[in-house]
Amino acid sequence: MPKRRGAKLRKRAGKPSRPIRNAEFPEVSVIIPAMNERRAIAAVIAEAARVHPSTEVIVVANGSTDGTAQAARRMGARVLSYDEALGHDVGRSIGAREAKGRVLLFTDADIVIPARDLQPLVHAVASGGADIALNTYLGPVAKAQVHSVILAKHALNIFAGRADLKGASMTTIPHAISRGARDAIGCDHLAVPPLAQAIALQQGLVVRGIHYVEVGRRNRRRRRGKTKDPLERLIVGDHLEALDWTIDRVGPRGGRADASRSRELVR
Amino acid sequence: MRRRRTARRRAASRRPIRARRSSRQKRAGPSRTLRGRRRLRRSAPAREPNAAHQLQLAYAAGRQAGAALTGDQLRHTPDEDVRQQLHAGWSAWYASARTMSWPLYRQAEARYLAGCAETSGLPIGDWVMLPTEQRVGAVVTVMNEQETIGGVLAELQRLPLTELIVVINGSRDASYDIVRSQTDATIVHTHAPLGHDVGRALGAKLARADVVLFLDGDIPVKAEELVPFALTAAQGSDIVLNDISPYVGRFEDRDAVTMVKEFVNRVMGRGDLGINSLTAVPHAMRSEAIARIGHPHLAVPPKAQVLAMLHGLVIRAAASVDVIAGNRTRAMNTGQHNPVAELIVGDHLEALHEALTAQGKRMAFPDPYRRRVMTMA
Repeated sequence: MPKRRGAKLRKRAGKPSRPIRNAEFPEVSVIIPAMNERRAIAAVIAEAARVHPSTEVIVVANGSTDGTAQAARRMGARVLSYDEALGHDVGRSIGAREAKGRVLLFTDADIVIPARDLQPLVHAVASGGADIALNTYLGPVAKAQVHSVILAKHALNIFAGRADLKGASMTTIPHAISRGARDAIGCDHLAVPPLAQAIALQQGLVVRGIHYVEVGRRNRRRRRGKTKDPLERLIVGDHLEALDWTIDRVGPRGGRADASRSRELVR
Repeated sequence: MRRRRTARRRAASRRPIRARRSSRQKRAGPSRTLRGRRRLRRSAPAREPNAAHQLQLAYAAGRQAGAALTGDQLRHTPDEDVRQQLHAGWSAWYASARTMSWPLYRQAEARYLAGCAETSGLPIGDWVMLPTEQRVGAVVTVMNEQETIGGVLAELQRLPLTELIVVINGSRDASYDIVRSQTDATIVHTHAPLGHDVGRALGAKLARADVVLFLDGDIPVKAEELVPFALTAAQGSDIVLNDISPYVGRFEDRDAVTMVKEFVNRVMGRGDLGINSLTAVPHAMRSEAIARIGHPHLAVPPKAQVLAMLHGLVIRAAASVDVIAGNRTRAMNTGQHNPVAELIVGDHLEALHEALTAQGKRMAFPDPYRRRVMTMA
């Protein structure tokens, strides 16, 4: 599998993408955190710029030593550059803060997603059909025991009363949110995507699974051999943090009654 | 489609509980795929060393126990006194025997009782012995269960239980009359419904046995299938859960309750327990565990489970009974947004609240690398 991915990248690398032009007053802001992703960044930016006629592409380059920021600048993207690594998803938060568009689209720099797979998400938000438009890709779920991150995504939606979303999550890219959703959630919370999702659901924002984009091949690369995946523990912790927030706001049962239980009878 | 599948699973559940695994399977750890687990369940029982010898010893022990009965005990129908004496003989024999698989255990038990019948001349009937000298009791919760409660109790009556507690609540049918006429159980009877699982907590408070089995009045469980729960608890496990993982299918087909059960186990560092939970019956608990958790918490089973984990109690899913195929469907417990499912999902969040309070908002899943200060404008 990784071989196929490499081949695809090489082909793209052989055909240098033309620089883009960021809109001055964009409708759509595409936010791309990047850490040492020079290999694919140009192609990612090129596709991102095509999601809407009026688009700005913001690359949040952090902890990169391979010239990611320079490559992104050469492509015409707006680049926010940090020498140190910011940590997982912090780039999203910073990018969102700087975004000028009415629609914010989040994607990653290590996977080239064709513009036609990004457009439905942008359109769902731009047309007012959703405040948050999610990728409906769930990962491998046709098995007895699933990855902890998949399990956590499903559990969070269930606890938020949205079992119908299954495992659709702001942890997964690509997804789009409205500017209003950004302000309701708070830019700082976007750095912990499950927390952002819990807040969005609690505030009654319209959260919908919109379009299926297969991003699994990218995840597979992270799991080398049988060693424990550190991202797995980080993201599961993010979900716990989201549940902790939920309990804080709506009580330990998440607003679910158990008045039928005569607890006082047993002490 | 679903119906047909459950019928097949039901048949599988009657097969031996413990099956020998090949050395290659052992090295690979517990099978993670359904097909793999079913294959394990299907594989033939072990050919155990000295099986025939074990059976002979059991038979001899039975003859001896039967011969030891005297006078009044030898009336035509064997009474509780006889049963306790034969049970004592069996548990003593089991304590001295080598460990054995469940199929062999059942054969040995049959040989033991045959020996008893032969030397005493008594009709032993369908008694099931327990391989422990500890006191084993049962708590059964009942709410309008007249169709099934008789069968539930009949199976329990085959066991040498030291106590039977039946909590009848909110019943407007003949449940009470059936329990009263069929058993000499301790009955707690309330006209108002106590609410989901509160009866268990009440029963647990009253129980005095070393090991308590918990059952629902609507799901009859064969006495033989309860033995592994009692034995595992008697051997020191604080909580013995029903392993229902063979009956739930692939992740994507599961309901919300099953998913949150697995999530709670996983974040508590007990992913090995899979989807298994105190929410499901039957299960067994040691009396010390009930005291440690605090019996009122048993009214919210997932919370009791998390508290048990936080207290470091020993929890195992050591026995397997298919309670899914036989579960009565009611208006309350079917469909996506049914009230019972919502209640149980709430129970799991309440359980997580305990863990989050005890271990912090990310529990054992820290976030050491994010520069969160950078997110503040």
